[in-house]
Amino acid sequence: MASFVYDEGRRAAFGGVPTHSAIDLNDDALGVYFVDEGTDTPNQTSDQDDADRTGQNPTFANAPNLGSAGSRVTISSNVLVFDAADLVFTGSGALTGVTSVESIDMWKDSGTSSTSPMFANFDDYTGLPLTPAGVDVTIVWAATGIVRV
Amino acid sequence: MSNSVRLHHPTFASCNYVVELPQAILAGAKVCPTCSRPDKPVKHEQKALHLQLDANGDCFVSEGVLETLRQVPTMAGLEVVSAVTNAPPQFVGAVEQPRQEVITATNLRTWTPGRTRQESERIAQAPFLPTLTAIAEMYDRRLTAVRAEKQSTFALGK
Repeated sequence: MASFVYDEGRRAAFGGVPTHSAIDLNDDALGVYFVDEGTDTPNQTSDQDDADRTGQNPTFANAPNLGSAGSRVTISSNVLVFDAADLVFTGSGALTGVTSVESIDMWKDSGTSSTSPMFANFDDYTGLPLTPAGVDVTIVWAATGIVRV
Repeated sequence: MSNSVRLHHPTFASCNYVVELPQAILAGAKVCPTCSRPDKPVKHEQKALHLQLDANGDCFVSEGVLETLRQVPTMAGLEVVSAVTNAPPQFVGAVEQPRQEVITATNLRTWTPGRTRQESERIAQAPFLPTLTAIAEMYDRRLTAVRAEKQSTFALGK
């Protein structure tokens, strides 16, 4: 399997009829966590919200949100860019209780697990699978944007 | 209180040392982006620790990972050196990955070509392309239909 956009995420962010609310990539709170695939295998079709998942690390409640809300999407010279500051999972709280993580999930944080739609799963990022060293872990987004069209 | 532990391998150095955990079966075995070459995909059937051994044969793991390693026979040849508080941070995503040798605990060896930062960026953006291409094609079809309708209306008007 390679990285993918969840079907629910495609409907919610790019036009369609989502089960939950639409995803505004520019303004909405977007959470990110790592996934221990020894516990759960992400499913592009059937995983619709956080409640469909297990193996999150950090947990839904403790996962950091993507920064730069309100200025993540820019359009210039017919190029749309969705971007944000690199995301740091800090220190001793990062990836505790897990031997390795195999992928990264991005989702809209509605504040409630069962109504927070899944957006995308990344499992072929350089550096994955990651074996925690008990230190800060930084997700470095592409310099040209998380998404560039 | 430290959160990292320095481990040492007496034989191997400057490589990605992979320790598969036999008790942790992966439900969906898939191609490992760290161990694979373009011409030789590698799949892990079990969860696997990927330990970056430096030139001295050292690497850093969390205390939780160490506890798991202690359950592996002979700790896969690794020795505990010391607890540390200043282990280097970890990065994933659009970062460079050097060409490196991959060695498993059962002494299988291969080389990966590594990735430049640009290749990592392209891979990071790739999952969105099929979705966005499909949307662009849908809008293109709609615009084509609108243009065709306008042209036919213009011809009839003349």
